[in-house]
Amino acid sequence: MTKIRYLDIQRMSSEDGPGLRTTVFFKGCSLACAWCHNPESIAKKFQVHWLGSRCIGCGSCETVCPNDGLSRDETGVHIDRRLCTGCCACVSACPTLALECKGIDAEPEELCRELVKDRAYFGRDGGVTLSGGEALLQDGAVELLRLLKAEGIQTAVDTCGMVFTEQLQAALPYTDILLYDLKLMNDAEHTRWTGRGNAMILRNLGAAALWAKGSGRLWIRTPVIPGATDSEANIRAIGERIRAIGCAERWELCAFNNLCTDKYKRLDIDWTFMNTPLVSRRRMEELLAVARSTRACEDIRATGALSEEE
Amino acid sequence: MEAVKKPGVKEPFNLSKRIEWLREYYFRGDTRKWNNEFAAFTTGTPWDEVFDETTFLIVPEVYSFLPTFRKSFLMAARTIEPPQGFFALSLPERRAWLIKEAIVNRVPQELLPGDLIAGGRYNLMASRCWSKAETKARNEAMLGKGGIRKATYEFQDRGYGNCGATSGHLIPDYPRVLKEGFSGVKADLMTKYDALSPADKAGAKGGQLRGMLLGCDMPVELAAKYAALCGELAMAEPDEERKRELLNMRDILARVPKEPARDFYEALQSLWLTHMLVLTDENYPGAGVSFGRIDQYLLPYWEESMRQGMDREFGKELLKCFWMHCNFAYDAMIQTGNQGIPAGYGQLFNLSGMGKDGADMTNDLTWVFLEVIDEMSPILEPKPNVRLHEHSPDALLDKVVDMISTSQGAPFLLNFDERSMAGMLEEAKRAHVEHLINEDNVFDYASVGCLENTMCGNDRSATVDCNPNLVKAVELALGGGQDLICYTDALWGKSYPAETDAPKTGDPRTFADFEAFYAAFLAQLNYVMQRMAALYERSTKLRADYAPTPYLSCLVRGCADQAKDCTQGGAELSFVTVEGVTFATTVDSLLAIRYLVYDKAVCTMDTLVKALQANWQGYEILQAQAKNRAPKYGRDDDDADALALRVMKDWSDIVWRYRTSSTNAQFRPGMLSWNYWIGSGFILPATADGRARGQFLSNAICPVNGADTNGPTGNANSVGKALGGRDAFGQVQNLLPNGASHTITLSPSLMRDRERREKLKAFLRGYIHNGGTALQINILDAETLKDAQNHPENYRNLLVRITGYNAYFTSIGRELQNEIIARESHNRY
Repeated sequence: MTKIRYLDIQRMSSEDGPGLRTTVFFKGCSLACAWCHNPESIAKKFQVHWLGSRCIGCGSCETVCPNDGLSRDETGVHIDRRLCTGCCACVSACPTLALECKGIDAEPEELCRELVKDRAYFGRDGGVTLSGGEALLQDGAVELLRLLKAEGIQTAVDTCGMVFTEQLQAALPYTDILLYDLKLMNDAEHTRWTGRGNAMILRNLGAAALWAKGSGRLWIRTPVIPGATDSEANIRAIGERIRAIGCAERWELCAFNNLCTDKYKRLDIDWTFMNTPLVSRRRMEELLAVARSTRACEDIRATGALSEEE
Repeated sequence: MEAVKKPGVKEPFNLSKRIEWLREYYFRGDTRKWNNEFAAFTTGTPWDEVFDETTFLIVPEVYSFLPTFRKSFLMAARTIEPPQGFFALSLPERRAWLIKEAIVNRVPQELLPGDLIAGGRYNLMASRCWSKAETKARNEAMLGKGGIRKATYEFQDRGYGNCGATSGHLIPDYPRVLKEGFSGVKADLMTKYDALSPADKAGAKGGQLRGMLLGCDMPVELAAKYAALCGELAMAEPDEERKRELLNMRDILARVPKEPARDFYEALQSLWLTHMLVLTDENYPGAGVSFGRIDQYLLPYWEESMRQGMDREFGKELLKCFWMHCNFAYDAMIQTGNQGIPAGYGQLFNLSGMGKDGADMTNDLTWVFLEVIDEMSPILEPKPNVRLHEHSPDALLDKVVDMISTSQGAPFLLNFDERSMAGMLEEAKRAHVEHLINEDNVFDYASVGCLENTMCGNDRSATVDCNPNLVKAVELALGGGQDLICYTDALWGKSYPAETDAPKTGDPRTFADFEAFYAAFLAQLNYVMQRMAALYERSTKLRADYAPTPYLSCLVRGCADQAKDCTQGGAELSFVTVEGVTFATTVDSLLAIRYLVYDKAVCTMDTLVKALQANWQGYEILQAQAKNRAPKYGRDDDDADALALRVMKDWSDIVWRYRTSSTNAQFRPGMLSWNYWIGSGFILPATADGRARGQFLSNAICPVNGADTNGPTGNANSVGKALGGRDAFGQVQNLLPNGASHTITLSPSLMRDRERREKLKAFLRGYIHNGGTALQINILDAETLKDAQNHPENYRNLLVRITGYNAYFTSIGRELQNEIIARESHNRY
């Protein structure tokens, strides 16, 4: 059986679909969005990072790296990304969890057992969400969805849409809600900001729409990223496309989030959006008005933290 | 759309001028002209005692004040000359006479402006009425060499915890007084007295019943005094409307509580006088004297008044006056500070809940109470506890969630019927009282104090009398029967001699496996219980012999039948509850020992013991491994939680083995740690879970602070599993009949909008299924709390609750404040 590589399980999540949910974040993504909130979810390989606040400076990690990829000085622990193979010997040696390995491998059955533990809290609305990274890139995702449905759990898949149509089609029979990202309608812009064009995403949206016209529930999500996706033209174009497919239940404009600044630092990545402020309330109101003017669907709303400053 | 919004402190609303004034007046605190401070009375004999410290033996933070209280109350006491032949009477008669004389004839009757409920001063500290010989014998037992006081101090100083026969903590049979009036109660007592044989009449039984008969006269005589007062005030009242109110009060007081109540106003007035005199009788300002299912037994009176055309808002106005009366309990030691000592009084009442065959009992009056709570909040007393179950209506959950979100979570505790009732049925089976607790009446259970489940009107379960630190048994197992550190006297700093009584369970360095260690732990756990039961026996016997509460005994079914005081085991249901403290610290310590020494061989037992003795100094890496690498209870990790359940089963089995001999009360298990988990953290040595001495222990059934890394649902699932989970048929199990206190803090983000509040409702529905017996939710963000620390003047009304330990945030110590802030953050270590 194919193992699933995931980052983390978040229980009692209130942000990944309806009701209370347990969300599993898959590792590895087909896009590399410049604003990604979960940079550790992009690469599929194991990644080590160091959390200074947990470190007691005991030095247990210093000598264990087989590739000499780890060093320590007065500023803390440094990982040489060229030498690190993700073997995680240093993580095992760390007594405080200051060194963490990003990535866990588990059989779908094993993961399923963990994900259904909050069944009692799901009620009518809630369930399990597969997020990421891109969950549908991994074969185990379909098996996991099948197991969850067999347990009677409502399932949601949060996808960027950049997968083979067959991969999407295989998952849909076991999916109740598809959280589908539409980021940029301009293909060149899409390539510029995410590393890939949007042709396949838009094609798969058609497949998703067909499914949604049957039994599925389709939520569209658009990250509102200052300077990247937040033009009125882009929002209008996305809205028109949603209107054209005619079967989305909800469209969420998800405000840019800067809480991940530390994650980039810990992975030694320079982040384009390091100093980008939150979207202002006024700007979001304007974009919401644009979105609503397209009559994309009944339920159009904004989520995430906004700044009150103009 | 959301903004990062700072929640403000809840404000009361929809208060009439009358209530606004009364509320504001109350919060003036010790600057008030009028208060309900203890009034002390002595018989004037040279040997008299006024203050009985037995009640305070479970309050370690006041130990150092006890000698002062004993002397100063006596010095402040006014004399009531006892009548001729006083000391020839039985002790219950003496006490009943003196209390009645004090509260009816010596304490002034007063009414605050606009108040609609009579019954003002009620905090009394009155002569114990002992004869010279009784005083000598009693004081020898309490204060003598090797006396109870010293033994109790040592028990606490050496980290075992505390115990003592404490007042309050029961639900008197108030519905009976509403239905029959004290005239009915008295007639029944007379019949029982007349049925006694002449020998019994001359003996203890006769004395007890005569004392109770005197007790029955007290509320009747006091009501007559208040009726007269209202009449006088009416005469002098220029305002016509107020005059009518006073005349109406006069008429009501002329009738109740002597006669049955006929409408809501009479019922509420009757209930208040009846209740407040329990506090008077016990000389204890209301700790856990609880009202039970108030929205059920007051309903017929409410409906009658509504039929007669009472304005709904007037009914609420009466309740709001009632609210204020409950709060004046805190005046008892008002000169000692904001809330006096101690802070958590807990005149609890339950709302809603299950009825026969699983029916939901939410009614009109439930909603009235919820409105009053909402409009009066934040205020400490009385303490609401809303009972939820699988069929609780959605509208009730909506209201509960709305109130939680606007009041920082503070307005009430939640009790969960299925789990709670399973515990009561377990108790019935274990104690062979199925005739008193069974499927046909278990739904009428209610909570006392904070969340301690008991039956109503016939049950004295002594819910906070025994509070052992379970983790002491791990320490003794690690020491082979010896303390790991040298303990000292908290007052003088003098070292106690090394322990000798604990069983010699062997040098843990020689143990082959974890099972050997666990066996040693159980032997020591039994020793902790045995030692506590022996100490408790002494204090409960002392109370049974010297501290009758004849008036209260009139309100507890069983006492009249047996002609026994409720301090002597007169109640139909007599239990002593053992509130296991430090449960999660104990489980995590065992998990860490298993992980570090046996499973992973990270260190030897020798190293671990040395590390604990050194308070982890020089063993920081091992400490970090214990904290971060060893498994923990509270994460919904089935393997760790299985050990939690094993400890729970083994510990509760031990508890059920014990009974008191003087009062024939069965010990029963529960988990409520009040504030002990803080204080004992400075006494007990480092623990194997990575905790250093001086850090707090775990609270009640809660996981160790910060260990619940899988969030509130994982935390709640672990709690449910530790209580017994469900059996193979899906039936809810509960090993703790008393219930278990569980506090969680949720982020205000879950309250932002209707959609998210639906999610919180889903959480509560899940908790009904998977969680524990009782839940306290705090909605607080760390930022608000830090601001409150720095600007207490802006947060006078900010209420926080931990376990129903209920306090204004600004009035609690810095350490506990920091603890609450840390709790909010849910960080890893």
